[in-house]
Amino acid sequence: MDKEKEFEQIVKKHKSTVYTVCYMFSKDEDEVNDLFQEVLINLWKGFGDFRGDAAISSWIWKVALNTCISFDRKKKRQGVKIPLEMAGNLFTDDDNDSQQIRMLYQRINQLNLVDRAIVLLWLENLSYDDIAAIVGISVKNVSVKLVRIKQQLIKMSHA
Amino acid sequence: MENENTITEQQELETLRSQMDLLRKKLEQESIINEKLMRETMRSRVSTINRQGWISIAAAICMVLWFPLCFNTLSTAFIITTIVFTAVDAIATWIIHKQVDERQLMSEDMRTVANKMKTLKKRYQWSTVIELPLVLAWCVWFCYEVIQMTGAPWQFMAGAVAFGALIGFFIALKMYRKVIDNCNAIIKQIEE
Repeated sequence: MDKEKEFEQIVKKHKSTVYTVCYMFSKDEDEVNDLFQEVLINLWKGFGDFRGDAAISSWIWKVALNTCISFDRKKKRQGVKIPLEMAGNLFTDDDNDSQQIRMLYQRINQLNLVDRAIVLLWLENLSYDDIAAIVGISVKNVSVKLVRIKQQLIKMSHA
Repeated sequence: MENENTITEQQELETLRSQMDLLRKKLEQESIINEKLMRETMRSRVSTINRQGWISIAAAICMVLWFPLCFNTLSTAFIITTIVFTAVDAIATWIIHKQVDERQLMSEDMRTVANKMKTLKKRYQWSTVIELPLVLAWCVWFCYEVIQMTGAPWQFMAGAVAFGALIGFFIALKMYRKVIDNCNAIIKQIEE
């Protein structure tokens, strides 16, 4: 299959993963667009070297998280901006689901960047081994951090 | 009491998970990747096509400048023909490529882009069909000119020119395939 076509299919299949990460690491819709494009570019750059040693979903998580953590937000106004095709806006929509999602966003957004990455992976039901491999820390460290993050999240809900 | 706390914490975490599920479901229903993003991919392909064009033009300009200096002992007719031939080639390449501006791709409608790509492909194929016999004729003439000038055995010269022509042919073929493949990919993407 054509490499570009294959890439397109993978992106379409995992678009919600990429968007979730971008959303949780952004402060507005504009920044989500910037991050989304940046992640796509990095995925495309790395796609040629991806040998399939790890699961494709883990690779996508890794690239998306690394991009969002290291993204230079000063760069955000440069270059051609391509708004994503979304029927609604997760930052402004007022329906019940969007409000629930925003509550999640507000809590996760208060965490530091690495903790945000860890909790997202945990919420995606990834194993501690997978989380450790993606974030690049030990399994023990993941479990310790998760206990602390969970406590932080619960505290936020009581605040 | 402690037990109650654990249950509440568990519920809190379950709420987070259900909120995450809501987000996932909402995103699954969205197309997210839009036409402009697709255009951006095409833009990179057109950029590759135009890069090939600029390489050809740069090579032709170098040839016009370099050839008379290095082969000034060859006949004037041959030198002039070579310069005219490469200059015409450079102009033709520029004309073929000038209609496809990667910046315009972002604003033009898909049908116009597809038509432009089809025209570019057709012109590129025609220019190759015209150029190929001319290049072959030029090679034979070049061989003759060098034999006249140096008195080298024709077998040696024919071999050397054939070797050079073969390398040139493979480079040109690779560039040709790249341009045609990119054109086809854009046309196919739009038609799909």
